[in-house]
Amino acid sequence: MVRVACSPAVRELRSWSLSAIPFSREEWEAFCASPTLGSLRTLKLYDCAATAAGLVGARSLRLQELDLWQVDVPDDLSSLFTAPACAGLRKLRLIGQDLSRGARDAFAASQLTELQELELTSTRLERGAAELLVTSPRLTKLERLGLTGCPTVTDATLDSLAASEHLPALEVIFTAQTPCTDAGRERLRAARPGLSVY
Amino acid sequence: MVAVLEAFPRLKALTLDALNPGAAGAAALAARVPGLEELSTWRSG
Repeated sequence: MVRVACSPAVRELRSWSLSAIPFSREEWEAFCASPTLGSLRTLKLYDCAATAAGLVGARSLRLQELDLWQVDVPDDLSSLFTAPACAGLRKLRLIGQDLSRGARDAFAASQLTELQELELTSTRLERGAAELLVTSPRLTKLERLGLTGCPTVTDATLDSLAASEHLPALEVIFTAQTPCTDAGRERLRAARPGLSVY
Repeated sequence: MVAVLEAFPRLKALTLDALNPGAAGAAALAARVPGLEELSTWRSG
C-alpha cells in the first residue's frame, strides 16, 4: 500500500479509506511522508496498525476530513490538534477513542478553527475536557457535536454551553447515553432556542 | 488487476479488497487511471 501512496497514481486522489491494513511502523511513516498525497482531503483509518502520531509530522497532507477508529492516538494528544496536516479539518471523528489523558490540554491548544463537525461518540474524555470544548473561543464554525455515550459529559457540560457565548454556529449536539439529565437538556434548550439537543 | 484497470480508464473511485497491488499495481494505477479521486483499501497489504 505504501508503494501506491508514494506513486503518481494518487496525485489527484481526494479521499482514501483504509481498513484493516497491517502497516509496519516504517510503512506507516512512509505513507504519512508521501509527497504525492497533496490533493488528499479525506482520510479514514479503520482498525489499521497505525498511529495518528504519524500524521503530526506529515508535510504534504492538508486534510479536511479525518476519521480514526481503532487507531492509536498520540500520547501527546495536543500534537494532533496542532498538526499542520490537520489545521484545515472540517470534520474530525474520534469514535470510541480513549482520550482520558491529555484531552484538556489538546482542546485548549487546538488550532482546528475550521472544524464544522466533531464526533466523539463513545469516547472516554478526560474529566473536565467537555466543558473546555463547549466554551472554546476557537470553534467558531462548529455546527455538529457528537458526545453520545461519553461518560464524563454531564449536566455541568450542558450548563457550561448554556452560559457560553462561544460555539455560535452550533446547530445540534448529541448527548444520549451520558449522565446528562432531561432537566439539563431543557435548560440548554431554553438558553439556546436554535440548538437541537438530543 | 491491470486488465481490469485497462477496461475502466476513466475510473474515479476504486475499492481494493484483500488485494496487494505491489509495485506492478501501483504502476498500473498511475498509468491506467490517472484521474482516480477516491480509493478504498480493505485488508490489502
